[in-house]
Amino acid sequence: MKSIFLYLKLILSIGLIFFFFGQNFLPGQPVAQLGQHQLVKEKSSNESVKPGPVNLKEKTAILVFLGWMWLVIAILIYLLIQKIREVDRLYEIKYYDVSSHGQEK
Amino acid sequence: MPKQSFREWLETRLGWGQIVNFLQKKEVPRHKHTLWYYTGSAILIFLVIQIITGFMLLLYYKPTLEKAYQSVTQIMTEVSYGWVIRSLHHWSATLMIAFVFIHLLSLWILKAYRPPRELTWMSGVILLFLTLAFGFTGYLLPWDELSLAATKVGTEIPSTIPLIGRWVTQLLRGGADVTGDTLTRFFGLHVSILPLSLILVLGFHLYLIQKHGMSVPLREEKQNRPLPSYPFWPNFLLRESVFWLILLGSLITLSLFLPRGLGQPADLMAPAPVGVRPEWYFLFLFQTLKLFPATILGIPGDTIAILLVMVAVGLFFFLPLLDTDPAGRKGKVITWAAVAFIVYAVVMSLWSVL
Amino acid sequence: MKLKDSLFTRRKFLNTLIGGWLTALGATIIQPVIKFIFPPYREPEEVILPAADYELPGPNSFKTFPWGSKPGILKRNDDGSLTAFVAVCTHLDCNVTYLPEQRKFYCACHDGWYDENGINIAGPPPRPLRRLDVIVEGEKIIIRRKGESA
Repeated sequence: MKSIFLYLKLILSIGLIFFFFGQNFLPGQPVAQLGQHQLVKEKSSNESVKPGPVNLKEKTAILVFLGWMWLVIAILIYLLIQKIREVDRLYEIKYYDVSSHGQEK
Repeated sequence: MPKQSFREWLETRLGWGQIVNFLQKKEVPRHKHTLWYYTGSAILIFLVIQIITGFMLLLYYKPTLEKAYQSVTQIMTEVSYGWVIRSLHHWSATLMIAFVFIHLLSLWILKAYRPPRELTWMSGVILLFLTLAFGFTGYLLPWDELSLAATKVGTEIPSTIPLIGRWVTQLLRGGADVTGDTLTRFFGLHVSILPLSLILVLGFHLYLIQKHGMSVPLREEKQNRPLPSYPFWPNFLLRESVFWLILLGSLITLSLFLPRGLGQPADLMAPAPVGVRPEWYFLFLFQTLKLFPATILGIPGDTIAILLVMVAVGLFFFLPLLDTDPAGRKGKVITWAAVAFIVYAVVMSLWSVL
Repeated sequence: MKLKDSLFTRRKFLNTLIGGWLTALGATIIQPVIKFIFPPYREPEEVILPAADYELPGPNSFKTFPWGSKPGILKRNDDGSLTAFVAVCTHLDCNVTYLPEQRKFYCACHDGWYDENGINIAGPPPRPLRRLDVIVEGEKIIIRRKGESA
């Protein structure tokens, strides 16, 4: 059982990495090589409406936004881990059993 | 009358305490495969994001032959953060389908469908197909040339089914060919029929999960000792929320860095564009169909391929009934069949891309 | 073992912190969502009309034109100049019409009246009709938002 999961994780991670990043980070292939292997999201030739930030200001805004968002998420995760420790301890000392419902939140 | 807090006032009227009580008593077993329990709620998170972003796109999208492409262009160029929302909808769909696959395959290998959870598995398989139907119908809606071509191919495939094939294709297309009528039909499916069906089946699925509790892997079950566990609320839910936050952050990052584009507008009379290919989750089927020769023993190869796929789907659906001896030799074969399927799907997908 | 009181304080403190940061995350994400929901502002910068279609020979004659998704009224004044109005009542957004015999704009929804210069004179309208700039350039009549003509 353990070995199956090892294989599964390996296959899945390779597959996922390829699908999520492989296709999109290869936009600059020469057209001659594409032929029938052309990608669905071929950016250089096929796309008539280009998504994404249009200027430096928007690019910076996106980076600032992402930085802020990940900071908030990191802080939240830290706090949640503290909370998890607390509720685990409460569970171990059987705090919930003596209290009635509605105590927690 | 004694002074009541607002919380108590609500509690007497809603009785939410019972739910909290139930969730506190619901124990989540702890073992080394507990991690896979998180995949289910990951799907739910992406479903919620799909519903929210879907509602938002609906505010601007126009499901007609003349306006569909133009309205998607408008969303991406004129509406504030339009490209972000569309990109979120795309990436959330991608991740949702990825987690549906991970969820099902992990349950297959862990044999979570053992009695009494057969119906949980079967409703899960239905949910898988509903999700894929969402992906297929949604792919057409931007009405660019690739989505048109992929839909033509996708709706033509059932036509090779003996007897009913043509009829199925016409039903899907709303006519003999993919036209504006197909677009209207797919739109209706995507925003109304499929969501309602999904919510019904999902409700059934979740009810069964609550009824039977979390499945414990066979090996842990065999050891005949009480497994350590913690309550669903709040211990497990807090752990899950950490995972949700990571998923949400990853989704937003992906959507901003790899935004979903839009191709040339669809032209019903134009030749198929080079490199027509379905979304990644259909690639292995796409490649399988390509491999079959035109005829095998006088029978069209497509017909054999589609019949094989239908048999495979049937086997997959009835897996809990086939796996009568999970701990024995037959069970092991079925477990390895899952691994074989994963290898097959990954190899085929890579082959069709490379 | 810690006192129950200190436990409660710590818990409340943590809950507040988590709630606060969740709000911060929510606020971060909700901002683009709200901006998305509000449609892009789409009043036209200018509308160009072919002069041939809008000759308006006599004084006090008028013709409507589309100003984006609203009607506009182009009117020949007594001195021969042209004036353009957004033909929408300032009361509750009904379309108004020009009555040349009475030299008044009339809104049928709530019986609102404006004089020939678009000034509200009777009924509920709170403000005069919105005026637009008119520039005649050869074969074209260009109508722009007030104050934006070069």
